[in-house]
Amino acid sequence: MAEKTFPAMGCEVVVAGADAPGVKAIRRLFADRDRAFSRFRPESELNAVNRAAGRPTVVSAAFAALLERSLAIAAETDGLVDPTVGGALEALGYTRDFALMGDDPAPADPPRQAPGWERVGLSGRVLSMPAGCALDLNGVVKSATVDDAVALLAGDGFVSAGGDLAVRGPAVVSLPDGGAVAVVRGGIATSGSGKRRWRRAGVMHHHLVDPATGRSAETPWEAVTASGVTCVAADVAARAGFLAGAGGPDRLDRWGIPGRFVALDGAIVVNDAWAAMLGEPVCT
Amino acid sequence: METDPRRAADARMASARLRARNAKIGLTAAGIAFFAAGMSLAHGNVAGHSRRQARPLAAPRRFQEVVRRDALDAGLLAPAEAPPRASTSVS
Repeated sequence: MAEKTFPAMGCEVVVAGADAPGVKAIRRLFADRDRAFSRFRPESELNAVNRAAGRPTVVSAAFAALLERSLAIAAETDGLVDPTVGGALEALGYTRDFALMGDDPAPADPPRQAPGWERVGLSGRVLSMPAGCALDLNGVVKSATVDDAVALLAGDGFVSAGGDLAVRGPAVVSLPDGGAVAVVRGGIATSGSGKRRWRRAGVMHHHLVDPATGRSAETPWEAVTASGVTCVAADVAARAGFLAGAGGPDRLDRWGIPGRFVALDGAIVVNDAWAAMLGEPVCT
Repeated sequence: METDPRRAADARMASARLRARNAKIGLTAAGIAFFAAGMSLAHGNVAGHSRRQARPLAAPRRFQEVVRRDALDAGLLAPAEAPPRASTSVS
């Protein structure tokens, strides 16, 4: 099965099982989504929407669909995965493509608490949100694009973008800190603080922000991997598991989602759903 | 004894006015009754008239619950029996 890779959305995209026109279509899909939803492109629809915060705005149908999905996810995760953390990320210094970021001696701005997804109103394509509210849809957009890309495959294969992966037909996937698993259906995703992190005035920050505090979440986990019926479901579960802290394994068990947690000290913990699906002991 | 023709004419006019007024009241009442009966019959029998209080169009709660559950549902994993071809790295 041939594999093609290309850069998009600040990460490497791997496509397996697509012919040349298929790869071209997938590449175009990622480029279109990045143009519309990037926080780092001044001309993106996302930035236009954020600039218009405080007054009703008509958004594109694609934007409305993904925002609606993000708001449903926020409700489902009790606000752990909140799309209104854009301002908090900017305050922490995540203001440009991660590849262009370096350590900065200047301190970060004071933490900016997320205004909260409940304050975002979406009626059809008319969006209203309070002044100063900034959306960040990156997580959902990337994983949704992976799902949409897999739907473009003619046969078995997979699409992966920066660790968010969806399959058509089984694929064996290596896991953080060793081990591998066969993804038979749906997707798998890993969220953690190990990659997208930066220093401001010597203080380490990462991109997984606690909406309640506006600070990078402090959790016992280095990385959380979760399985989902789609890549979006896997990514949301991985992020929610990470942000839920010590309660992450139980949280994913309540949803019936298999989760594998790499602790800061390197220990690997799997929740009951993971153990039941893969026959592994809960702690390894 | 002769009746005063002018008085007789006034009496006939008064009687005619009374009948006309009664006729107007009767016609108005019949019209209102006919309209009310028509409306209530239409309300009960014509598909375009709702018998219940109007509610905004929305997916049924049960459907919404199913969609939400599916949005956070597990995929299918199995033990690896071959070398990995892909990786899920931290994003």
